[in-house]
Amino acid sequence: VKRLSPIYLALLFMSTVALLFAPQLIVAAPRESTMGLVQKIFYFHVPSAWLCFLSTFVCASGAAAYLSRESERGERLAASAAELTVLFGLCTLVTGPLWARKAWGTYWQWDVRLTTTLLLWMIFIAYLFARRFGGPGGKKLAAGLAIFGAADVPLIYVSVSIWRTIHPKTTVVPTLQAGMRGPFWLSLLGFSLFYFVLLGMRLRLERARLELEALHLAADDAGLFDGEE
Amino acid sequence: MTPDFSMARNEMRRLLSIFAVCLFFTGLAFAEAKHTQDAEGFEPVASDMLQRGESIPASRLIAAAYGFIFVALTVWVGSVAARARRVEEELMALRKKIDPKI
Repeated sequence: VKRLSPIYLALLFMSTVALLFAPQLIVAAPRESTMGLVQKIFYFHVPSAWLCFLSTFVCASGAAAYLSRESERGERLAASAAELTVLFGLCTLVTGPLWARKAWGTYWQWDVRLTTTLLLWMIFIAYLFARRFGGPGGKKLAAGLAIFGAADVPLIYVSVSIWRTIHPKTTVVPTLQAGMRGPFWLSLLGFSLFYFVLLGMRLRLERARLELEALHLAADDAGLFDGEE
Repeated sequence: MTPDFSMARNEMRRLLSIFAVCLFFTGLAFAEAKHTQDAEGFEPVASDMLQRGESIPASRLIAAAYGFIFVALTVWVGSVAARARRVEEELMALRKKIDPKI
């Protein structure tokens, strides 16, 4: 087993501390006047959405490097980030409706922000399928999908400002009350650090797979599999 | 023989230029929207959106939301660990095949 780098261990430690400390601040944070207790979902819902968007851009950068320079490192980065986009996208799409049930009286509205976020999530599901089952050109098709998906992120962000929507606007975070700011930013920091821990973990798996592939090829060249089906 | 990627590169450059133009216009739209939007906090919610007598305990929804994130992250980490273990086992088996002394 390869040793973990000090940077990785430091990230793991800092994110663990932040994520252990954040719930205490969230419990102590003041209740929002109109929504009450259920608004506390906000402290994990927004960081999940932020990481979904960040991961989308990481994936699109890797995909662009793969398409323009045939960079295998870029492709591995894109594949790792795509899984995290799907994971944090799912967290956003589940926690949002739970909050909405109390705040709006319904789990789901075909509101433009909700719909475009669902679309982003589905694009990255398509990425994973294309990469896994797309055959010889699958990785390139997946990379194209990642870049296409990244173009959806600015649209999701500005959607609440352009169209009529019941979703809270982008002005919520800058205008947070003093007691809500601390738990929110700590939660966001903890989640962001944890994202890089997860990305590092997933990249290690990709590197191990690459090593396995190289060893398979070397063994095949040496005729080790001769006589095997 | 080295494959010629110059055509693919040109096409890629063209695609990236289109993407950059799209991003630029989205940025413009965003700047315009930011200019016009009112600086408000959380939107007030009409309580009559819930039917009379209907009451959902907020604590249950919060527990479900936080619980889901915890379970989703745990399952994903477990899945990556399981995949990594499988690859490690395959690597070890192959190394042994290549050099039985390992």
